[in-house]
Amino acid sequence: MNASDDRNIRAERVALGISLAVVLAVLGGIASMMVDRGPDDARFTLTVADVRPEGDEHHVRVVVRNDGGRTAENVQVVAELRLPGQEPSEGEQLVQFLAGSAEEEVVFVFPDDPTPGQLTLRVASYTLP
Amino acid sequence: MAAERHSGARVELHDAVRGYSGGMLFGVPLLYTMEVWWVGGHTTPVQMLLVLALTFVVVLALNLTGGFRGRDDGTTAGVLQDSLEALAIGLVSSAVVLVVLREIGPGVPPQVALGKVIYEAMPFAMGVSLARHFLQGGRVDPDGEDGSRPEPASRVNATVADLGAAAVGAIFVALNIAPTDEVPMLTAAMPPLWLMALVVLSLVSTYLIVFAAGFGDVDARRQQQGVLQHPWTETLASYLVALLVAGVLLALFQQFDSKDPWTDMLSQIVVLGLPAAVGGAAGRLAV
Repeated sequence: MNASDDRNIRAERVALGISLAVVLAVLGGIASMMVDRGPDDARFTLTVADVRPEGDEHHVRVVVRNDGGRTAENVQVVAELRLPGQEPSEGEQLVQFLAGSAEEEVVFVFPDDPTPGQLTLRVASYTLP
Repeated sequence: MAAERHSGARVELHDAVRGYSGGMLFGVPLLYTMEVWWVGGHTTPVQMLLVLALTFVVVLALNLTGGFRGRDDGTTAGVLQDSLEALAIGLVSSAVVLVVLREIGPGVPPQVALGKVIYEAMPFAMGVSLARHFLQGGRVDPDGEDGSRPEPASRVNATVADLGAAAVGAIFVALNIAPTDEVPMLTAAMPPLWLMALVVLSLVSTYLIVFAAGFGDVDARRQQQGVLQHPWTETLASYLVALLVAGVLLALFQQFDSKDPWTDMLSQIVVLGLPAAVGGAAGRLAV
């Protein structure tokens, strides 16, 4: 076996080592998911990220987070704004797919500034995949 | 001596490029399928292991008959090694493309990202293993029997053939994706910098498929004389053809119209441009 063959074998071993590392990293990721599953059912947290006036309207950006381990589909998010002396305003958003530990941003549009009022956010329903 | 020193690494790199190119040809359509992104998002660890194992078994079976390397290695160890490397190339390639398409990134939970990569790696790894069987036909030697340079008419014909084949291949692949919701979905989440990354990925991938992976008669193709026949010129021209095809198909399927902002139209064209360009590369290899 000459020097060229040695180098070819070395290069093959490097390629094999890199491939093995990639596959082992993926298997390690799967194993860590098995160990650290967290709560199974979907659980939601809703947080107002900001309120932005746009012309005559007010855009309320809300972060919807699934704190559970299970994916939820068709997550229905409802926002209700109560201002003194006025009829309540409502908005509804549908998040099609929200995996466990994932979050999505939705925006509700209200005609009035929600700051002096009471804004209630809740998840009204979702579908199990 | 210097050439020998690098020859082993060069062979491995060439094999990896060939594998990546085969993977792209096979894997691109499924990369643009939202159902695959979703199923990756709610897959249990056990299901991921099963998919990974199934992918490895299929790749092993394919490598027993061919593989992606340019040389034959009939030993069991060689086949196992090739299968492991095909799987790794599939995992890394699908991860890179999913990052560029912004389907995985910092905001995506690790288990969701891993699920998407594993599912998308299935067709990629199969394509890697089939790479050596792809499109073995080559370009007819452009030189005449006496070694003279080809007549000007044949040089123009070669350009027309290349661009025509690029168009047909682009239509073949992009036609399946253009009417679907994936393109607007991907476009909506893609800022300009990522679109530029997608353009670069499209150009590099199609260059690799046609000129670096070793499919068909690469030497004859590189020596082709004529208009737009330099490898990078041909790559660029074919990419422009792919973008044109993507634009026509998107308009045909009413994904946009003249009232939409030009930025949105351009973004959708670039997003569909990747699979169209890969299809165009396959078309050029077939001619």
